[in-house]
Amino acid sequence: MIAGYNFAYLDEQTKRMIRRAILKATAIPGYQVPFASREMPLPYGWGTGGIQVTASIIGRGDTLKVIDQGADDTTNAVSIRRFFARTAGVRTTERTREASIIQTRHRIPETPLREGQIIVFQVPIPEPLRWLEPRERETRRMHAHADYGAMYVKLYEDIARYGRIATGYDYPVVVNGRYLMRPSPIPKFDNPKLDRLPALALFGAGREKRIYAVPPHTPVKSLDFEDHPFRVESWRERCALCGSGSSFLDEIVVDDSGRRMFVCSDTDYCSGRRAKRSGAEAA
Amino acid sequence: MSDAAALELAPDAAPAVAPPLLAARGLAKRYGRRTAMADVSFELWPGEVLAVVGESGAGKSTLLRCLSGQDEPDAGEAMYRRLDGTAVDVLRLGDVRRRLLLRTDWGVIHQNPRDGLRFGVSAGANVAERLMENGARHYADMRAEVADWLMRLEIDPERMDELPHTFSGGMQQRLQIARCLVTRPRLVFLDEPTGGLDVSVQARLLDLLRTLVRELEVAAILVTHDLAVARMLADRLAVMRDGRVVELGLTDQVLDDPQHPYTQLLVASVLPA
Amino acid sequence: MSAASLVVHGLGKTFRLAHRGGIELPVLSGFDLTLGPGECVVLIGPSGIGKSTVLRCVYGNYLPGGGHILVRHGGRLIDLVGAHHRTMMEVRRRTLGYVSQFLRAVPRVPTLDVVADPLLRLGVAVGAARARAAELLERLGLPERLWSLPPQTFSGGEQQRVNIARGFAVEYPVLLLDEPTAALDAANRSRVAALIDDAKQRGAAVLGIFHDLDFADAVGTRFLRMAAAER
Repeated sequence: MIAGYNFAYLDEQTKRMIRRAILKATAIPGYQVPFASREMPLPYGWGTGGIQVTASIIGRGDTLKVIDQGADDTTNAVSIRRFFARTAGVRTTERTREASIIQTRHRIPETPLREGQIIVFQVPIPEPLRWLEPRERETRRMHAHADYGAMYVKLYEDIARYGRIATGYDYPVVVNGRYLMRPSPIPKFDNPKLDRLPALALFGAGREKRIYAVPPHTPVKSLDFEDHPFRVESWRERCALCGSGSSFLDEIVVDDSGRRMFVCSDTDYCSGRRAKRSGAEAA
Repeated sequence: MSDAAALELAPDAAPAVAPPLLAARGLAKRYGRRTAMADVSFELWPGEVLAVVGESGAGKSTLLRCLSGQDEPDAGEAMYRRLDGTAVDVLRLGDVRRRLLLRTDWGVIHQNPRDGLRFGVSAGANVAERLMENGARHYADMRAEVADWLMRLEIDPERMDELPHTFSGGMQQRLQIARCLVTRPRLVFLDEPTGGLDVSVQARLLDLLRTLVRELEVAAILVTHDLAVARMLADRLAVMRDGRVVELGLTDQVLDDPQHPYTQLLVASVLPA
Repeated sequence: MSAASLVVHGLGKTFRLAHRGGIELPVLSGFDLTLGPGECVVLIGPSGIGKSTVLRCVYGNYLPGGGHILVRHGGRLIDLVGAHHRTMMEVRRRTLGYVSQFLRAVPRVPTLDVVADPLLRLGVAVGAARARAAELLERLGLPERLWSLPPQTFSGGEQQRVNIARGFAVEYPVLLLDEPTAALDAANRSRVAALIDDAKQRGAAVLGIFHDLDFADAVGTRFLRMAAAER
């Protein structure tokens, strides 16, 4: 742990302020709580919101996992993990099962989360109504009145144009039957995992200075129409590495001639399956 | 006078009149030192069209804005009779319930289609939005209803997926009306609905409005500076000047036998049709 | 006469022209009239004496300056002077018909619908209303090819027949006719006379102004000569 910094980088006053915002957000599922976002030693868009949330809740006994697009080994994930290792001296892991806190960008791990775990999402744009209403005052009023009819306009337009709801990421949800929420740019494949999730989900937007939350076991419903129900994407292919047919797959171009392969986006899940398989073969 | 006539001179009691849909009393609004509206009172019945006429700055738009929740009057009340028969003062209803009223029972048709339509989404979505605001969640059903309303307003349903800016001014205005009427409101506010349109397009729109208002038995408050528009659409006419209603009566009576000096001047300044 | 359809008593009307130095033009004072079912009373007198003003006051087009206008409406005798506008609208919808000299209709509306309009206001189904409109237009000899066109482009006589058809579409108990035949030739005038006779037959009370004295003789049951208002 490096000297000269407070535990987990942020000063205690700031942490208290953020914890109050987190408590309020947890008490009002899906509601966006404003907070005084601090300058962080990395640019906006690199997860400053998520880092501040993680810094405010992490303790010496925690084990931290950080993923970016499902992977533990990308630059962003590695540098955030290293940041907390150095400023808080906590244990880090790549294993979903071992982590007590998981900070993520754009994915929810395939391995089911359990009670007691906290997943922290990095959020670029927290406001689901922003695309149709640029005025903050107006969107806050729409939330206050649960005036969400306009949100369905987007789904309507998708079906009118493409014959189906084309939104694939950041697919809007209603939390606990009340607040409309952006789940951050996770694939809609991950939306069902949020529904009645046993873990606590916290969302931090640094640039937009908002924190919101989905407490454990809270109903989360993806918007849809009766005759166009919400559906997750599926693949004809299986993971080329572990053979999984039920995980979210990334398409990777493997050579200059344009050959492609599909692999799990969740690297921990994939390597876990491969280890199990090679173990079984060895046995 | 003959005895027979004397016998006839005992009229029966005046027929009972059902309670009004909207009763405004003592509405007033000031902007700084300027009086925009003072002591405005009127009543409106279901299915009735009331035109508010007067020159620019007479207070017509202030009245419309205050009643439709776009602005707040300084004084007065506006009792609105809801479907269940109970009356509420819409001016003291609170934001949440007033908005609910605006998207269920009421509709507003603006002079400029840009104020009443979303230009970023298709014509069909503009109409469907009102349905979705009121809880519709079945895509195919909504499409059918939207197509039906576009046809009623003489818009080719084939064009429902086009953006409103590809429509002519008259079509945009008809689209706005479809968006407003699709939820069957009981009270509609019309702010110079034919304002920016050519005369021939105006006439067609007026006839459509007249037919729809009758079919749906919707009450309407129509703000216009055009007496010909008022004559064609309105059952009654309120003449405003300097923020006050100087005359209120049956449309043909006010236009053919104006009582107030200002109304006489207004009627006399119109070229005969 | 106990079942009079229309009783006018002590009707007065003075126009005040605010912008002509506030001058007052007394047109009617103390005007009386009683009209029973099946009657056709013809108002006569020099032009400017106030014949049209009587009709317009009864219809509520002009605001009466005083007196009483009692109309039998749905079995009750109602005073229209000072009546609530809802009552006035209802009386116009069901009881009082009014045919003026000039047609006033929304532009671009087909003739058939212009004529059917008063029936639609009463809640009659579109099909039935149009059938009745067609029947009247046919009786008045308006060529069928014109029915789908808006009447604004028609000749004066054609427009007047559209106006009459519109005024007779509903079988009003009281009819006010203000020079409805001014622009019509003899053949068409007799068609209108037949319509008026039919109305009388079914018990309508008719109050009319007809400049054509032969026509007035043909349809009128009684003549009422008007005298100048007292100044």
